[in-house]
Amino acid sequence: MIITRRGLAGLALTPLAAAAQTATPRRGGTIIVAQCSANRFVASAQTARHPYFTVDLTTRIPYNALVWVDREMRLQPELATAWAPASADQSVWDITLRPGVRFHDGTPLRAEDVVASYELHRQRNFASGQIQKIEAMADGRVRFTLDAGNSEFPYVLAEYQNMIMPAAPVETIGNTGIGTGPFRFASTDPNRIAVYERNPAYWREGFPYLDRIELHNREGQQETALAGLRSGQFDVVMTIDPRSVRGLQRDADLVVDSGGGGHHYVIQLPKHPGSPFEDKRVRQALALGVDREAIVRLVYGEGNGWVGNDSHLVAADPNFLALPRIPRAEAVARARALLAAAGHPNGINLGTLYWSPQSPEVGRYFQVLQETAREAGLTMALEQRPADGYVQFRTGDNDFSKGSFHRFAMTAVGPRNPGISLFRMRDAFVESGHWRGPQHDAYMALYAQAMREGDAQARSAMFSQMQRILHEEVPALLPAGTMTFSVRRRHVHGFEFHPQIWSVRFDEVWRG
Amino acid sequence: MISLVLRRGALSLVTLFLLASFIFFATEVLPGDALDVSLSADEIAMMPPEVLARRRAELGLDRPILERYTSFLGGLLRFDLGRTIITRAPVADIVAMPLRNSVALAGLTLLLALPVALAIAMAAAQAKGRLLDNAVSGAAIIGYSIPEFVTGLLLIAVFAVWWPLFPATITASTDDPLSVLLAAAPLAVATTIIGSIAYLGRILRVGLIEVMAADFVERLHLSGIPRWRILWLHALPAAMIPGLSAAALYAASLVSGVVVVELVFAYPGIGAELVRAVTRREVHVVQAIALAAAVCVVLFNLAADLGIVALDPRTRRS
Amino acid sequence: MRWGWMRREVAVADPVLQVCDLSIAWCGPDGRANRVVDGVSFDLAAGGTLGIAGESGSGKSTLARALLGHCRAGSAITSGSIRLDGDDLAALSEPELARRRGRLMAMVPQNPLASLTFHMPVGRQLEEVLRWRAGLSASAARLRAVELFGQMGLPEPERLARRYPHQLSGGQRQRVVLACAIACDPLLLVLDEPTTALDKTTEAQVLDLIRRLRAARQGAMVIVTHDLNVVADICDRVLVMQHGRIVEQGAVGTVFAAPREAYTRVLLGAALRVEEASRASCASRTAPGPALLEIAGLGFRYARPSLLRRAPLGPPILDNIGLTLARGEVLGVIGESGSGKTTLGGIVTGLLAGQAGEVRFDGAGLPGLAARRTREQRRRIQMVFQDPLSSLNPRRRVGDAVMRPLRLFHGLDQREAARRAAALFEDLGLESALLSRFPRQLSGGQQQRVAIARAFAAEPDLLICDEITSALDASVQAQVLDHLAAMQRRQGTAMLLITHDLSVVWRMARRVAVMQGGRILETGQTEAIFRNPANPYTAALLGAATRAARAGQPELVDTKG
Repeated sequence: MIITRRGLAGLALTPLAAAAQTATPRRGGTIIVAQCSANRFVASAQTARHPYFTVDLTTRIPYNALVWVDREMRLQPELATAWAPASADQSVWDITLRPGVRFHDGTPLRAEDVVASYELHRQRNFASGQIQKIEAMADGRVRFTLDAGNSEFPYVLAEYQNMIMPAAPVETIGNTGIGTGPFRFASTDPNRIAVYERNPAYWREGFPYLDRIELHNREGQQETALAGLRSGQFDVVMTIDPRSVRGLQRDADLVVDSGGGGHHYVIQLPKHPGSPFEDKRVRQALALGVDREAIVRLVYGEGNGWVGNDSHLVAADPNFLALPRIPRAEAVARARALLAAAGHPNGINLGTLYWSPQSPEVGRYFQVLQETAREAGLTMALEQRPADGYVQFRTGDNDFSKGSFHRFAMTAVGPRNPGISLFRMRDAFVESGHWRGPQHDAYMALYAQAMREGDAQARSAMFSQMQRILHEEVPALLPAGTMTFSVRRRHVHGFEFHPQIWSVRFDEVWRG
Repeated sequence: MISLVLRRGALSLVTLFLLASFIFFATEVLPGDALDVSLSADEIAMMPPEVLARRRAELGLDRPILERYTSFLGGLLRFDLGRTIITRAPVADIVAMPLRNSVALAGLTLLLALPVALAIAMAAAQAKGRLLDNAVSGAAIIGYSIPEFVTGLLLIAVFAVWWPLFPATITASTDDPLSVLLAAAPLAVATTIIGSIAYLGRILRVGLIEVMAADFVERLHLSGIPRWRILWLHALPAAMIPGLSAAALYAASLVSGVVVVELVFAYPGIGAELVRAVTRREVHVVQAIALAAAVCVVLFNLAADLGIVALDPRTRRS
Repeated sequence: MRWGWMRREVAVADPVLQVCDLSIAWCGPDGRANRVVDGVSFDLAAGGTLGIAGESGSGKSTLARALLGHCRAGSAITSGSIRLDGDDLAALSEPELARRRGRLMAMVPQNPLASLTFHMPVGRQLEEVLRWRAGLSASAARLRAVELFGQMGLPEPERLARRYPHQLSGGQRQRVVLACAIACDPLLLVLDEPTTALDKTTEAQVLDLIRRLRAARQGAMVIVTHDLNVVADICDRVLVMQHGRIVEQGAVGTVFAAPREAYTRVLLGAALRVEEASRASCASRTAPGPALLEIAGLGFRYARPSLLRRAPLGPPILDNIGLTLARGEVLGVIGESGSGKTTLGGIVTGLLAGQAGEVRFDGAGLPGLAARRTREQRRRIQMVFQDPLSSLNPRRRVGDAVMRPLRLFHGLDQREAARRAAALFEDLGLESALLSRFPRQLSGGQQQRVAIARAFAAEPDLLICDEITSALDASVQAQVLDHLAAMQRRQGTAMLLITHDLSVVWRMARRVAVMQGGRILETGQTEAIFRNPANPYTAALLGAATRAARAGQPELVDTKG
C-alpha cells in the first residue's frame, strides 16, 4: 500500500502538534534506517558529524534549521518562530528565535549561534551567497541583509545544509556534531553509519518517542538495503527506485510511503543560430509531441509519477500550474501542423539528445520520450554520456561568439520553492538554452517583481503568469517527474516521507 | 639466491614507480573535477560562475598538472598520500581501515578456499574423466562463471531472507575489530569463497592432471611407489608451479577487486571505497587505492616468483 | 641383494618371462579400437637379454610397459598373457601389480630427465624406492643409495645425491634412473630407449654399465630401442617389430648377419650408414666460394653469478677457436657433449657474445649479441635447434611461424607470404594443409622440417644446425637430412652442422672440425679424417659409432660382456 497523507497538521502550532495518529504512540526502542540516495560529499572521521558531510539527507535528526518546508512545500517554523521582511524591497529580513531551546551540550540557543552558523553557510551553501550581512539584534532577533530583494528568502533558511550549530570559527564550526535536534550523535562511521540517541532536552516537549536511531548509508545499493529490510535488519529504507514500488507493495509486512514531489528532468533546447530550436514552433511541437502521460505510465507506473509543465516546478508545489490536457491524437496533429508551418511538413530531425545515468530509470525515460516524439514527426538520436565530466560536456561555453555551444541534453532537477526553481529559466543560465527575447524579458521582469512582492497571493499570481509564458515559449522541456518513495516495516509508525528528501523528520516516529 | 631476491625486489620497485606515474596521469586526465561532482544540478543552477571559480582555486583544482605530479611523487616518498579535496582529511586515514578489511577478507577467503580447492582438485584429478571429475569440473565452471553478485544475492535470498540464519547486509562499522566484522559477514565470505574455490580448483585440477600424465609419475607408478606419495610429494609441488602466478594475481585481485561482493553485502572494504572515491572524483583517494592495489599485485607476484624458485630448483640458476 | 619371497632358484632353461599372443589396443576418440600390439609371443630365459627393435609407432614402448602390467590410460590388453615368475600380469589387480612392481619387475624409462621428479634431489628419489619398495630404514636407505650411485659409476656419489636432475648430465641421469630400477634387484628389467638421448661416447659408457649389470645379475633384461647398434652391442636375442607385429626374431648374430625380412634390412641400413652412405647426393661437395665466416682466436667463459658487477669468469668453454667457412660450404662440427660445439653455434647466431677473438661475416666484423646486429645480418644468419618444439611457439600455427620471417625480412603481404610458406613446405615434403596446424599436432620429423622451413624462409647465407636430428628416429633422420641437403643445394647456403652423430657429418659435410674441451682438435676433409683419424680422440669417437656396422661379424660381439 502507498500512504500519501495530504493536509498534514504541520508545525505551525506551538508547541508543534503531532499528526493525527490512529494508535497511541509508544515510547522507547530503536529503529534502524537505511538510505539509498547519493551522498555527494565525502565524510571523514573529522567531518562525519558536520551537517555538510554527515550521512546525507538526515540532518534533521541531530540538527534543526530556522525554518522547515512541509510536505505541501509550505514554510513552517522550526528554530525561528517568525520571520518578516524589514524593508519594502524584501532585501532585509528579521528572524525571531524560539525561546528556551538548548543545544545537546546544554548551552542555550542564542542569536550569536545563528550568526556564526550563517557565516559558514554564506560562504559555502549554494543558496546563501546572497546574504551580505548577519547581525544579532539587541532584542534577540537576527537580521539578514541580502544583496537584492527576495520575497522567498525563508526557503533559503530551510535548505538542507543550513543547520544551526553552536558558535565557533568558520574553520571548525559543526565538527562536534552538536545541534538542537531530537537526537544526538552517539557514534559515527564516516559515510557508512551514524548512531543517534534520544535528546532528553528536545525543545518539542514529549518528543521524540524513540530512544535510538541507527542510520546506515546504502547509497546506490538498494538491493542490499531491501535485503536487509526483508531479513528484518532494517526497519525503514528511504529513497527507493519507483520501479521497485510495485513488488514491495505485494509484501504484507511492508508499507510503501510516497513523499510526492520528487525529481524530474530538464532538457536543454539550444537556441543558437542554425539550431532547430531557434524556431519557437519546433519547440512547441516538441512540447506537444512528447507523450508525457506515456512516460509516467511506462517509466514510473501509474500513480508513481506526475506530468510536468515545462517549468522547474514540481507538481506538488502549490504554485504549480498544470498544462491544459489535450487528447493525444489532437496533440500529435497540432504538433505536425506546427512543424509544417515551420517548413518541416515531413517531420524534422533534432539531432542527438545526450543523457547521463543520473537515476536508474533515465535510459527508459528517454527511450519513451524519443518514441513518442517520433509519432509527431520529431526524430532524434539518443546518446549516453558518462556521469564523470557530464557537467562540462552538457554546459559548454555560453558565449555564442566563442563558437562552442551547450548541448541538446538533459539533467536532473529537484523540488524547490518557486524563487529558486523559476530563476533557472533566466537567459544567463544554461538550462534555459539561453532563452532571449521580449518574452524572456517579460518573464524576468515578473520574477523580479515577485521577489520583491511581500504578499503570497499576489506572488502566486505572478508565478502563474510566468508559467503561462513558459507554456507558450517552451524555452526548455520538462516533461514528467516521479515522486519520492520509502518503505518501512509495519511496526514503524509516525514516519512520513517528503518531496524534499532532506526535509524528513523523525520526531514523531515510534515503534509498535 | 639472495641476489635473485634482491634483483626481483629492485625490479618490483621500478614497476611500482612506473605504476604510480601511470596511476597519476590516468586519474588526472579524467574530465570533471571534485567540485563539479560534489554539486548537484540544483546547486550549480544557483552558484554564480565566479563563486565556482573561487572555490575551485581554494581547493587547488586549478594547479598545473606537473606541479601536482611532483608534489604527488614527493608525498609518496614521505609516505604521505595527500588529503581529500573537499573535506581536507588525510587520505591515509580514509584508506587504512578499508584496506585492512579487504586484506582480512581476502586472507580468510584464501585460508578457507585453498584447502577445499586442493582437496577438490586432487579428487577430480584422481578420478579424471569419471563421474566425480565431470561433476566437479562442471560445478567449478558454473561457480566460476556465475557473477559474484548473483551468488551473493542468491545466498542472501536463501540464508537471510527465506531462512534467516545470517545477516543479509553488514551493519558492523569500518573500524570494528576484525573478529566482529568477519563474524557479521558470513555470507560475504561464503560468496568470495565459492568463486575462489571454483577458480583455484580449476587451476589446480588442470595442473595436477597435466602432472599426473608426466613421465616421472609413470616411472614412480611403475616402481610401485604408493599412490598417495606420488600425489602429495611428487605431483602436487609440480602442479602448484604453473598455478602459483595465477593464484597470486587472483589473491591480489581479491584484495582490490571484490567490489561487487563489497557492494552487495555493504562490506566496508577498499573496493567500495574506490567506487565511492571515483564517483566523487576524490583523485587522491583513487590514487592511493590504485597504488595499494598495485603494491598488492607486485608483492603477491614477488611472493609467487619466490615460491616458484623455492618449488622449482631449475629456476634457481641465475 | 635379494629378499625372501624372491629368493628362489630359477633354472636357466626355465623361461622367466612368457608372453603369449599378447594384443594391446588403444581406444580412439571415435570409439574404434586400434591394435598397437598384435598377437605378440616370445619367451625370455633368466640371464637372457632381449632387444626389441622397431621404429617409433611400432608398438615397442607399449609392449615394454605391458611387461610391467601397465597400460597407459586409453589402452588395454585385449588378449593374451604375460607370465612372469608364474603369475599372469594381465590378470592381476592393480594392488597386486603394485606389490610386484619395483621388486619383481622394474623399468628404466625412455627420457631420464622427464622421468625424474624435477623438484627433488636425485638421492631422495632413490632412497624413496629403497625405503618403500626394499623396506630399508631411512638411514640404511641413505647409505645404500650412495653405495648404489657409486656402483653406477657416478662420481662423488654423496655430493651428487644432493643435486637435482637438471644439474646432472644426460649420462648421469640415465645412471640415476638405472639405479632406481635395479634398487630391489628385480627379476625382469625393462629398458626403454636407454641411450637415445645420449651422445656416442656417453652411450658407450652407459651400455658398458648395462652390460656389467647384466653380468652381475641373474634376472632377465629387455631393451627396447630403435638403434640396432645398441641391440648389437648388448643383446643376445633380437625381436624386430613393425606395426605391432613381430616381423623377425632370433639370435642377434643370425638376424643381423642374414636378415630374412626387408624391414629388418631397412633398419640395419639406417644403422650402417656410417660405413655405406652414398656420398653422391651431397651438394656441399661442390667447390667452396670465398670465405663467408671467419672466426679467429674466439674465447668464451660464462660469468659466475654474483652481486658484483665485475664477476670472475668461469672456466673457459671455448678457447682460441679458429674456423673459416666458405660461401655455400657445409662444415661439420663434431664432439661429445660439453665439447663447446653448441656454444660455438650460439656465438655465431648471436645468442651469446664471445669475450675474446673475432667473428667476421662476409668481410665485416659481426657484433656479438643478435640485438646489436643489423636486421640484414640477422636475416642472413639463421639457426635450427635440436628440439623444434621449444623453438616453435606452441600457441601459434606453424604457418604463422614460417610466414613471420617472410613478412619481417622480405616485407611480403599476408597473401604472398602464405603462398611462399606453402611453397617452402612443398620443398620440404610437407603438405600445405599442415600450415594451419599447431606444433604439437605434428610429428617430430614434421616439426623439425617446419623449423628448417622457417630458417630458409629468411633466405639466409649461413645456417647453423645444432643436433637437428638427434631427437628423431633413424628413418625420419634420413628424410629430414635429405630435405635439408636439397634446400641447401637450391639456395647455396653455407651450413655449420653441429652434431655428435658422425653419420650426419659423413652424409652432409665435406669438411669437419673435431672439438673437445672447448678446443678444435683437428679440421680437415671428412673422408680423410674418418678414414685415418690423426687424433686419438677422433679415433675413439669413430670407434664408438661404428660398432653396429661390425655387429654382423660375431667375433666382435661379446654378448656375455
